[in-house]
Amino acid sequence: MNKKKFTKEVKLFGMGILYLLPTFVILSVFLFYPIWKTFQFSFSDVLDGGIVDEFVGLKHYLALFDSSSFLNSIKVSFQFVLYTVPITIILSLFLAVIANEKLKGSRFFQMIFSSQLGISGAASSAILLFFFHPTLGTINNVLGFFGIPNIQWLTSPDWALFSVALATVWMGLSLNFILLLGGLQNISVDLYESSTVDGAGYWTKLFKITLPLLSPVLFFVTIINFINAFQSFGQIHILTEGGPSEATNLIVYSIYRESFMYGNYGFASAQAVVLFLITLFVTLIQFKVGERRVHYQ
Amino acid sequence: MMKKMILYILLTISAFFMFAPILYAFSVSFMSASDINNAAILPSSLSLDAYQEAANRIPLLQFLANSFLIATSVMIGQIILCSLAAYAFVFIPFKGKNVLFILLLSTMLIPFESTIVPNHVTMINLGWLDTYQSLIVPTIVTPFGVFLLRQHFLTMPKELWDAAQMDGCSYFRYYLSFALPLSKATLGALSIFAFISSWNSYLWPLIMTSNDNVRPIQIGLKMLVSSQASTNWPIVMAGAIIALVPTLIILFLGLKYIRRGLLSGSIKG
Amino acid sequence: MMKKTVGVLIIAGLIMTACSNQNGETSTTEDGKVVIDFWHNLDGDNAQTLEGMIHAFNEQSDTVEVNPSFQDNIQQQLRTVGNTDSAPAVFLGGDNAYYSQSGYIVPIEDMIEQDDAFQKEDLNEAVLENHSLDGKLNGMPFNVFVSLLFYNVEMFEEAGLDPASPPTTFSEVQAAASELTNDPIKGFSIPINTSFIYNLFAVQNELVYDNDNGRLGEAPTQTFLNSPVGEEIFAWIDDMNQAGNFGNYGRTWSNTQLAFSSGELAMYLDSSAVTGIWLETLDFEFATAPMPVPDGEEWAGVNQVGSQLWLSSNSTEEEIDAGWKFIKYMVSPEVQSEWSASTGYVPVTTAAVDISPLKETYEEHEQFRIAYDALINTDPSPATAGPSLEQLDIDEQIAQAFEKLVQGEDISSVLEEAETSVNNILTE
Repeated sequence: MNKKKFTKEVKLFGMGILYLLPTFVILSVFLFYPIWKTFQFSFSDVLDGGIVDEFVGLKHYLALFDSSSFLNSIKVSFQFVLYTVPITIILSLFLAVIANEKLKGSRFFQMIFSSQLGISGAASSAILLFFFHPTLGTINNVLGFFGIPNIQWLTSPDWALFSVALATVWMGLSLNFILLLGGLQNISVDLYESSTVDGAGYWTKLFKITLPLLSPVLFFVTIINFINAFQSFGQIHILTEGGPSEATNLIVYSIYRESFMYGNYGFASAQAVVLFLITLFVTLIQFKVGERRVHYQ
Repeated sequence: MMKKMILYILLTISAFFMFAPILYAFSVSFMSASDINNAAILPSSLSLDAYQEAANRIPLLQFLANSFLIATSVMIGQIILCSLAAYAFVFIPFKGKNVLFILLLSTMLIPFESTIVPNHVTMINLGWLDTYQSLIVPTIVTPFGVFLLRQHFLTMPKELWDAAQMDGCSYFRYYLSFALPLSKATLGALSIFAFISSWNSYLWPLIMTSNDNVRPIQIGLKMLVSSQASTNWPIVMAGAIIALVPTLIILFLGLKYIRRGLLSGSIKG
Repeated sequence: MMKKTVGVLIIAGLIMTACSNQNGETSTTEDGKVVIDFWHNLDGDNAQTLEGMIHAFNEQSDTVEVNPSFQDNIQQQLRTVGNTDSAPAVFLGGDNAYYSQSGYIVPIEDMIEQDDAFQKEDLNEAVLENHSLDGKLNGMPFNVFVSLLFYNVEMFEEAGLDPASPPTTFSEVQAAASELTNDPIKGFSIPINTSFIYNLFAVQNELVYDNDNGRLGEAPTQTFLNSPVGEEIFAWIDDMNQAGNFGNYGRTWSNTQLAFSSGELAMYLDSSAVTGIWLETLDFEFATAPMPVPDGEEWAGVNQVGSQLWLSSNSTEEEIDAGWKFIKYMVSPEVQSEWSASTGYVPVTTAAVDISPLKETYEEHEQFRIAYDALINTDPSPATAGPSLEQLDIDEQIAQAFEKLVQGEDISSVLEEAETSVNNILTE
């Protein structure tokens, strides 16, 4: 009996591995290996070409926590996550719900809401820079129309992080919209029909049926947005280069600067490891708190 | 009626904010240099010169074909590999799957910028520089895709799975005949995302290639932008609009798939 | 369905293009020309001119075929492939100090010594001084530009200033800026960039770092930022800023340029490389002038910013030889004349100014010629050649000091802070 159970376990295990094999082969080469290398680099002095020169123990980590610039990066990164994640999710949920209504032309609006994904970095950078320009920018012109004085969106340390967050929310809406729309469309119509028979109103349906059934996707979207926000890079590179006065120097920008501009691979890798640990911690908490509340059918 | 009105107003306002940048890019692509210098919103006269010039400056068709080949391969690869892996994580009850899943998720936590140097060295050792596979294989499966499909598979009704098992349906059979067809909406979303993120990727292709025969369109776009002197924006925007068209087609097809999910969803009960 | 998609996938994977030149052997074309890869980071209009020059080179050469390739960040690429066979035979790189010590280049000086057909004296003296380290030329200067004062002629006239005699000293600029400022127009601006701070030291023949700006073999150990010279420069900017006559458009050069081109900025500092495009696109008349100096100081010269052509040491003899032929061609008077006339870079070869088309360009457009005058009037010295540093993170520190200044922080604390952090990096 036991033996039979054991063979069944082995069989299942073999089957599971078979399905996962291609995925894990590719991940091993292109993700696990670089992660291992990053850990190794963080304890070493590294020469150009990724060649480890010598083991230096905790040197880079000690330097990190001695660096006011890095401590600022951590603070700014957390602020940035707070500015972007909740707003992105709420706005894209709003878009998905209104575009999911059975209306004439809803397909057109779905297309429009997702089209922003198609704009490449080069194009959106140009557009964003122009929108945020201190004197000619579209946003300031619109505000000026209402008599609001010009705002130094990207050149004032008080505004820069907010402006980059604004750009990030805008850039993230389409992706989240598509994911949430997919989730909404997966919800069986029968459930709505039976509830309508029961006489439930629009808001009741939204909060009692739609959102609980959408919770696995919402959970997914939350985690993805947290990770993406912590790893934001492109928009900062384009808009502010981490400035002014490090106001937008998020951890990943700092990593980029240290490794690709200055060639300090060891120091940059130590930052990457710290970022890894921070996101791991936050993600684990989300799984602990979140997955229990998620409603799986 | 009132509700419809409100909805249309909300939809229109949102659409304007979402689409304004594309409209602006479109508008710029017809502008003259002096329109740009004066930060105009609309072109003073319509001119197609920028499109002509963009096509003259870079091998546009070659770049578009390369991008299409790469992005399509990545999309197909992700649909197959991510769904297989997600299926195993949800439906096959084997020991250690939670550990493997956490391991998979953890790879999302490393920033892309940290993987560049080790992966570059790997590609040199494989002799893959200047090849299509260097641009396809590393992203042919992503933890994002596996995670997305896992979340979806978890919402499929248990009764269906129990019934199929009762009938002696094999794992692979269930994957092909139930799991995939019932996930059209999510697969549609994944396809859109896989295609477009591959289409829009820039830094990795730039590092991997030095030969225009394999380079994707985004590198071409960057070649149009001038970093040392003032940029000729109409040409850049013309290039961006051309590069946008295929992604809009994919969006259109993908959204159709997402909507079909609705139909299959109503059958499944 | 499944089979089909797998099939497509396999085919996609199998399509491989021939990898050129990755086996440590010289590759040749069918008619026996040596093929070399050339990496450059030029984009936009200037890339068009460059491609045309390379095409012309390939046409006229019986022995060498150059394969140009655009790269966004050559230094980042070469940090990984510089020591491998994947390195290109020739590349354009801007960081003299870094490449000189990288260990993967063949010094141009060695090639010149073996080649009687090329003399160092053919190069412009100031360019040669600027691009030599410890008297040695490691990379061949190619695209060189200088910083100038750009100003809107019409605004000068409207404000009652004489466009024919632009401000030359700090106080003249300050006075003009105050005249020209007229909401929303700002009188003066400098993009937030370290190179302009360095240049404001160079114009008055002052060093920014000890050990002769790091130009004579010894690395600098301390900076002179926090000195009366530095204070004067910072106070000058601060005064205009406090008076509301200085526009702050951030680190992105294009934002400052947009303010100028749209008529919201009257004067600003920029690189001469923008001249060609301004001539083509501006709606108003503009002029250029040398960088201003502090009152009572003699104008000594400007730093050159730009890139050099480098030969990779990971090439075969034939490739190095072919690369050298290509480099010589690129700095020949004819090619430099064409290059400078269509871009606004200054020619590195003296003879280029005497021949067409550059000769005519300089006669016709004073804006171009002023850049060249600034170059030849530069008194070659370590101070005017500008700092040569291996530590690239210093740039960031100075840019931050500049940012803090225009945000109105106290000059002496900004300078002290910058001095401390720069010195820390230098002595690390």
